[in-house]
Order: sequence, then C-alpha cells, then structure tokens
Amino acid sequence: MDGGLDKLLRQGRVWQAGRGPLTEARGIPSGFAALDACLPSAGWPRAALTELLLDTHGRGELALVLPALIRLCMAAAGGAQPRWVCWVAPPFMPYAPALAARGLPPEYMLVVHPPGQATRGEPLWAAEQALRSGQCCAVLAWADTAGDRHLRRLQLAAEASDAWAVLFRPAAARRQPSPATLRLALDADGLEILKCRGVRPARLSLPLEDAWPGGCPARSG
Amino acid sequence: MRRAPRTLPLFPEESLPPPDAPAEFGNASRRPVQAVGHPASTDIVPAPLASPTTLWLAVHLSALSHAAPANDRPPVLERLATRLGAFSPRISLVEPDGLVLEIGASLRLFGGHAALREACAAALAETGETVRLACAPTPLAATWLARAGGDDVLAPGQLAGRLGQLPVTVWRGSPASLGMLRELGLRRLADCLRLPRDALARRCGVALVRALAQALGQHPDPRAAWVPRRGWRETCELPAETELHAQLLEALAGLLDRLTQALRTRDAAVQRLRLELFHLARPATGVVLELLQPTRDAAHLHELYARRLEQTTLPAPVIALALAAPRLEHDITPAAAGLFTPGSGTAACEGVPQLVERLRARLGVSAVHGLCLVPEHRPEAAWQPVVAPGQGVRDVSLPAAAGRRPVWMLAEPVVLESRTGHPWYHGRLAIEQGPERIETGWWDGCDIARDYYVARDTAGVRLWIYRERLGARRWWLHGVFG
Repeated sequence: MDGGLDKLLRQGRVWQAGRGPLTEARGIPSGFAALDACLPSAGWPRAALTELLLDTHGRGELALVLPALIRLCMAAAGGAQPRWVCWVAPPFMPYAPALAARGLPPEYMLVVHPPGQATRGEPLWAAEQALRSGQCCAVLAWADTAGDRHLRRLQLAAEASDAWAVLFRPAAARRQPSPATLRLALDADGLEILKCRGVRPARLSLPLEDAWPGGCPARSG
Repeated sequence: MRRAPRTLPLFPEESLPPPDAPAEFGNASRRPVQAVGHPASTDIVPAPLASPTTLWLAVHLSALSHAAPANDRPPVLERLATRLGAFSPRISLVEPDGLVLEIGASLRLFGGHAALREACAAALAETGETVRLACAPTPLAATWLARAGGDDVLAPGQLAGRLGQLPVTVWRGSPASLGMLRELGLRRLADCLRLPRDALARRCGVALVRALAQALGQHPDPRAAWVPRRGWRETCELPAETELHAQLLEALAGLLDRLTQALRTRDAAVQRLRLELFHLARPATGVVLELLQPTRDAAHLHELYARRLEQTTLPAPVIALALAAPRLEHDITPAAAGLFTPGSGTAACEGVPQLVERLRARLGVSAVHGLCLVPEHRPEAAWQPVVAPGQGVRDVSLPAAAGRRPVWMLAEPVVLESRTGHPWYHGRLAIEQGPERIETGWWDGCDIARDYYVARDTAGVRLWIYRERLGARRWWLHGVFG
C-alpha cells in the first residue's frame, strides 16, 4: 500500500502539501540556483512541456533559457545524443555569431518560420514534429495563439521525447488552462511559477542581468 | 560431354587495373559500368558458351497485346525486365515477346532452381501479363522451350534430346526457310538435327544451322544486355474524376510502390520527384518534391506528398496521375540505404533531413533553414541561412565582440523616431553603453558607418541601436537582448 502511494507521489502527479517532492532529480540545471531549488526535478523538466508567458519580447527570456541550452549542447557535443536545437517561429532572428560566442554551435540550429498568420497552429505542429523526430535536444517555440488540442498534442510529443520543450506565449494566455508540466510567467517584477507538478506556485526574482552583466556573457577562454 | 573452351582475355585487366583508368568488369553489381579499361572498350568479349553452371530462364509472353504502346508507358518487356532485375544482373530482351535472364549465378541466393523459378513467376504474375517460363543451359534453348511450352532442362546432356521434340516453328527464320522446312517434311527439330549440317545449310540457310548450334551450346550466342532507362515515369489513371485527397493518395501510393520497386531493382534512389495531376480540358498541375537526401523510402515519400497535396489547391477534379523521377541517384549514403535502420516511420531512426523535408512539405522550402557563420565584421552580414541544415560547416574564427552582440537580431534594421535628439521607441530610450563604431564595406557596395549603443526602453527591454554617422544621422533599431 505504502509502496503504491510512494510510486504515485514519485510520478509527481499527486503531491502532498507541506512535504517536499519525491521525484528524481533528472532535470536540466537552469543555471539559476533559486529557480533550481523551486523545481522538483532540480532544473528544467525533461520530456515535458514548459510554458513561459511573456509580457513583451526581450524581457530576459533568452537569458533565462540560454544557460540550460548551452549545457544541453555541451553535453550532446561529446556523445551520440541528439544535439539539434529547433527554433520555431522566433519573434526575431537568432543571431548566429552571438550564439556561437556563447557556446551554441550555429550549425546545429534549425530555424523554422511558418509562413503567414499562425492561425492553423503551424508553429505548434512544427514544434511537435521536431520533438517527435528525436533529433532535437531542445525545441523553443513561440506561439501567439494556441488551441487546447494543439497544446495537448505538444505536451504528449514532449513526453514521448527526451527533449526540453519550451513554449513562449503572451501573458494574456495566463487565464487559459494549459496541459504544460511547468508554467512560468516573466514580467518586469520577476519570474512567477504559475503551475508546476509537485510544488506550490511561487514568485521569485532572478538575477537575470546580474548573471550576465550587459545581458551578454562572453564565453570564457 | 563437350566442354566449352574457356579463355580469360581480361585476366591482366582484372588482376591489375590500370591506375589512371579505373576499370569495372563483370556484372556482379547491377550498377551501370562507369568506366572501362582500354582493352575492354576495343575488343568484343566473347560470351561464354554453355557451361554446367550457366542456366537461363526464358520468359515468353503468350498473349502479347498488339495495341500500340502509349508514349508514357514503358513497353511490356521493359516492365517485365524491371521486375526481374531483382533476380539476375544479366537480362536480355528477345523482341518482341520474350526475354531471357541468366539465373545460374543467383541459384544459391534464392535457394535453388525451383524456388527461384517460383519467385520469378510470382513477380511476373503481379504485372498482370500471361507468361510461360522455361529454363535451359543456353538462352536460345530456353527461349524455344518457353515458346513451345516445354519443361525445364537443367543438364546440358539432355538438351539435344529435349530440343528434338520441339516443332521447328519455335525457330523464327525467314518465311522462305520455314517454307523449305515444311516442304522437306521436317516437322521437329530432331529431324533437322539428324541431317548433315552442310546439306541443311545449303537448303534452309546458314541461320538455322547456327541457331541449332547456339541452342545446343556449340556456338557463341552473345546477347545485348538490357540497360534500364535513365529516368523513371509511370502513370496511373483513376476510374473516375475525383477531388478527394484519399483517393489521390491511394493512387499515389501505388505509384510510389512501383517506384521503390524499380529503385530497389536498380540499386538507386531519388532526390527529385515530379507528380503531375491531369485534369480534363485543363493543363496539368505539377507538384515537385525536392529532397535533401536521396531516398527510396516509400512511406516517407508518401507522407511528404500527402502534406504537399494538403497545401495544393486543385483547379479541377483529377483524372490521372503521373509520377516521374527524371534522375536516379546511384550514390546512396548508408543511412538512405537503410542497412541498419529497422523499418521506417519509427521516430528513432529518422534523421534531421527527413524532419526538414517534412516541415518543408507543409510550410514551404523557405520556411526552414539552418544557420552558419560568415567571417564578416558587419553585423548583418556575419551569418547566413543554410538551405541544407548541418551541411557546409565552416570554421570561422569569431571576433571578440561577438560575445557582446544580442542574440535576437531584426531581419532588417528599423528606423527609430528621434525626439529632441534622443532615440524614441515606445518611449524615450536610455543609452546604457556605447558607442561601438562599426564601419566600411566599400568593396561590395554596402558601405556602413554606424555607432552602436545598448539602450533600455521604458519597459526595461535592452535594445541594440545604432546611429548613422553619415547622411541624415537617423537612429535605427537592430537587435534585442533577450
């Protein structure tokens, strides 16, 4: 009986108030100790959808995800793991020299710009295909509108893969229910954990700019 | 038993190929001969006579349709030869109604004569033609046996006795020769074989004597090898006009099946495919598929076409489809050949090219690209999109300033408003760092002279802006620090 309950708790789908999470720490270290401490997997969750709500582009969302992205690419460079990073419908063009200077190999970046208005869920479809291909270690997707069905499909695709799936959405999507494992909101006041399997919602202010003075860390050496 | 004399005219060539001219001899691989050495190109290599290991399978079309072949449809014999290419590298056509293939070398692979014959018969049955098969140690004997509906002759020693029972009409001589045979009362080949050769040659022509010798393996019988056509094209007519994608895709699946069948026979793959959808009284709609890698994976091609057809609006119902591969690729990478990839469609064995092709099939070719670095000091020219992601990797040394660049770049710089001398973007921008001067580029006409600054807007977003140093000295927004 106890074993069954523990198993359930370990899956992270049920959690006990006042007790720490039981899930194994196999997340991707985010590079921010305060954030890692709040997340049950001690980092960004793998094989799950992470949703990041932004009030405006350029708020610091890249500073938030780049350390983990760099870590993933570094880990993949040596082994036979998938090492592609797929950027789906980014609001601006990822700048190859800046990525290379930060340790992300530009030749493993795949940029997808769905044409026209993204009314038919093309960005989410493309992100789902990238996840299902098993070739990407991370999939970053931007979507202004996202239907429930598409979100659900994306979450399932993320669960089937071993990749890190991040979906950037406008802050207006806060009211819309989402199947994502982790939901964060980033605004001028800091980072807020809206939903996370296994822990309580919390608000924390991350030193996004202090970590990288000038917003642009140079690669050491 | 008479043994055919064996000569090895190519022995020096085979043992030591000349270093400057790569020679490829023999027909062990089905690939077309790329280059031959000097002796091979000038001398005619005599075909080997009947030997105990040679066995020919003849196919005779017992019901040859006399309708004129359609232009876009390969003749029956070519289709049969394509189908049988999986069983033998040596196929020769016997116009107009037969073909022979050497199966002696393939017997072990296919598990003996009976199994191979059965496999050939099954493959031919799929083409829908009515054929008769026969095996014999020489191609001509096999052809005659197939024409007469005879049984297989496997041992060269039985050949003369079995051929003797066949009627002389299996030989296709001139009408005069055949008339002479009838007048002489020679009904069966045995009757001819009994006669002295010179007398027979005098009366009925040398051709008959030579044919008899060839059939018995006493005279060389060189055959022109059948060479598959360079491209591939087939059509499929629909039973009725339709606009339904499901019906189109079903017909397309049949075509792709035949394509991959032909590709496997020729050990080839395709990189460019053109599908034509024919309408009544309208020009056809063409759908071209360009792949990053040659492939012969029917399931992958079918999926790509399914996505493309979703995006294609048909001007009218479709009455027929044609699928054409103008060029077949023979240099297949191991990944495409799929030796170690079990099955298709599983996510794990799929590569990035397949992902890119799938995304492009729905979103368009220009929607998906990779990134590469360009050694260039002007920020907008320091990178390029790559059509084939992951390829053309260049080792570019990064300038030290690259670490200070924003990760987001605007595709084109945007002019900023200027109010009281300050840049303005949803509010006054506060300059935090700068200037960093970047200039010149006179050699390709894109001369620049800019002072770059890091600025912060009222919402707290850090921007990379610059001011022209020449002309109107306007402010521009170029990048965003994420």
